[in-house]
Amino acid sequence: MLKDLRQKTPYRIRTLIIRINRYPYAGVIFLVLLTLAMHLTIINNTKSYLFDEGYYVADARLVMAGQPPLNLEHPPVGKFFILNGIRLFGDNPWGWRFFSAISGTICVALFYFICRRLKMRSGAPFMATFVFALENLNFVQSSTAMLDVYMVTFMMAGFLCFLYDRPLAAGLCIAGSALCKFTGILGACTVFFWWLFRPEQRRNTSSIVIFVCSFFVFFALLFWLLYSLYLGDWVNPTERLKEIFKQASGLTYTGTIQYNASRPWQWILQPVWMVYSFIPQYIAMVSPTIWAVMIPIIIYAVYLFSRGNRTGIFSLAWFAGTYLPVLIAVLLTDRVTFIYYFYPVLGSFYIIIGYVLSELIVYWQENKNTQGGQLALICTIFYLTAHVMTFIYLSPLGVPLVKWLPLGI
Amino acid sequence: MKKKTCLFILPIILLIFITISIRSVSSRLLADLHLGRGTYLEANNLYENALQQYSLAIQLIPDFQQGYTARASLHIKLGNYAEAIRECDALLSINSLNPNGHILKAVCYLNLGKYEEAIYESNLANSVVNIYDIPYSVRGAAFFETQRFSEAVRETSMAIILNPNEPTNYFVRGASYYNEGLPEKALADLNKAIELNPANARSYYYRGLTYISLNSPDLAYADLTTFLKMDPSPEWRIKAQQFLLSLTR
Repeated sequence: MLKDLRQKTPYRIRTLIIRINRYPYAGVIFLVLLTLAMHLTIINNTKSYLFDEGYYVADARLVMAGQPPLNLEHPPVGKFFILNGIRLFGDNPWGWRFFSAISGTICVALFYFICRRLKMRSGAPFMATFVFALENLNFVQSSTAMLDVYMVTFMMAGFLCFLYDRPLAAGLCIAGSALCKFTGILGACTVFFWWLFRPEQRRNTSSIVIFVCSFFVFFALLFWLLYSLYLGDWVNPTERLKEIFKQASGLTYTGTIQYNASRPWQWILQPVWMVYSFIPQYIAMVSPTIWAVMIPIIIYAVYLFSRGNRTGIFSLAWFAGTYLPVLIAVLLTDRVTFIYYFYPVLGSFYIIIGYVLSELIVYWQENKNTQGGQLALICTIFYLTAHVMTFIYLSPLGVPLVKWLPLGI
Repeated sequence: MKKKTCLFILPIILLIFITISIRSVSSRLLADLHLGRGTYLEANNLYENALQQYSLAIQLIPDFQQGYTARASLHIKLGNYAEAIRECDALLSINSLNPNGHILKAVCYLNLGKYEEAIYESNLANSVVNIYDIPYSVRGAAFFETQRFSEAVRETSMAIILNPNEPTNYFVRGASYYNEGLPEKALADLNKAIELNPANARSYYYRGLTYISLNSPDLAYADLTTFLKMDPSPEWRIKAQQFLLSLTR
């Protein structure tokens, strides 16, 4: 009987592995579960606020106490998530950060489906999603009770809807993104650029008209309704908008001295970081494996764009839509920016990295016995190993750098 | 041939670019690492070493605001309020809008018994950022010490909303309620203060007095005895003993 069991079990396991291997979503399901597990492991890491968390948690407490919120610079959708997290799990790190972790996890799935829709080579969407899931800035932002992760999740949902020719839903999602944080509006620029340059349906103007109209209608309506709900009184939307822009434009480099601030061009030309906490370690920094290849990626994306490649066009539309307006705005207004403003842009880089890595693997598969083929394989393995290692060292999951890094004293 | 040359040259250019970029931020990187190491040492009660690390960070970047903030906080922890105020002044000379400078200075003044200065600095901190609980706490405590109890209740109520886990706020509000003749409200707050921090002797003292107001002499006796066991200052000891004496009579 035992012998029988031994014979059967390996066969069953083998069959299961084969089945999983054949299942097209096995990889992304694994990444989603891994991301969720990593987030839930560290959610209770610190009971102190991480950077701007203090603003949003304090506002949630005020709203729960029936008082008007004090921080009105940002719209309320992201704050509603934090507020409801606290209502659900209590006023503790679980309550503050639960929905951020869930949003970060949803983002991984959304990103995978965006890549799939770009009709990349088989394996490329998984590669890109792998790089995305194990990237430090993305992980840190989705581990904290800040608004950026909600904004990016809605933005990606908007991109996905537009890629699936659902302009109405895309407009709603991008409006949702802008209602988490106003920079979410930049998602609309990406959609517009994509529509303008995408290889197919170039003359189909109805989709962009529906998108633009739905975006403005949903944004205006939800802005008014949600702000009124949040403040407990009907608000005048134009007055509210004026107030918000006044507050947002007040933070300039000439008016304040911000040690942590960084200008948009620095995000590409220098390694930039912001320490939210040393122990446990929360460092808002783009993984060095992404930062180091940013310029070549942009050049390669331009090359792909010039050849009419969908991946290149979408990636460049994403980059241009979310990065260039920030760059121009900073040049014009001198507004203070921080490294986590770069978070919505990063998806454009992950896509090209996934694309290049899958190209390298295919090259190796086709030229296994040549030096070039072997070099391609070594480069891929080296890059992915370095990416995982930097994630382990930088992310809140690793041992804090300040505990073991030699400093000469 | 051209392709091969490109394959060699491009990684070299990339490496040079990466090296230059990292070198351009090396002093900031080191300063942050020293600050982080200092935080780690401070968490392990190695205060002298922590101070040394913070100073090294400031040496690397003379206008390193976080370094001054860390040094000021550590001085407050060690009870060196004059030193802490000096650090705050240095910090505020770099950036007069740094709320931490005003908050820490307010805390120092409160501990030094300079209540008006503490209120002034808290107001300055609030004019920059109005979402932190500490300025409200400091003002509440300063108003309480200067016997302005209704104002103390107002400020600590706000501080409690912004940070419901700080026992001092419940103590100050509870004691203020007691002084305002609201013993039921005082009892609720003092119970919470003791639940969050059973080591604060004055919470037992005021709860004892509140029990006297509520005609619960046994509970009052127990609290005042606990207060005396916790070895307060002679001035407070005499007050508590007088109340105990009145209870036994």
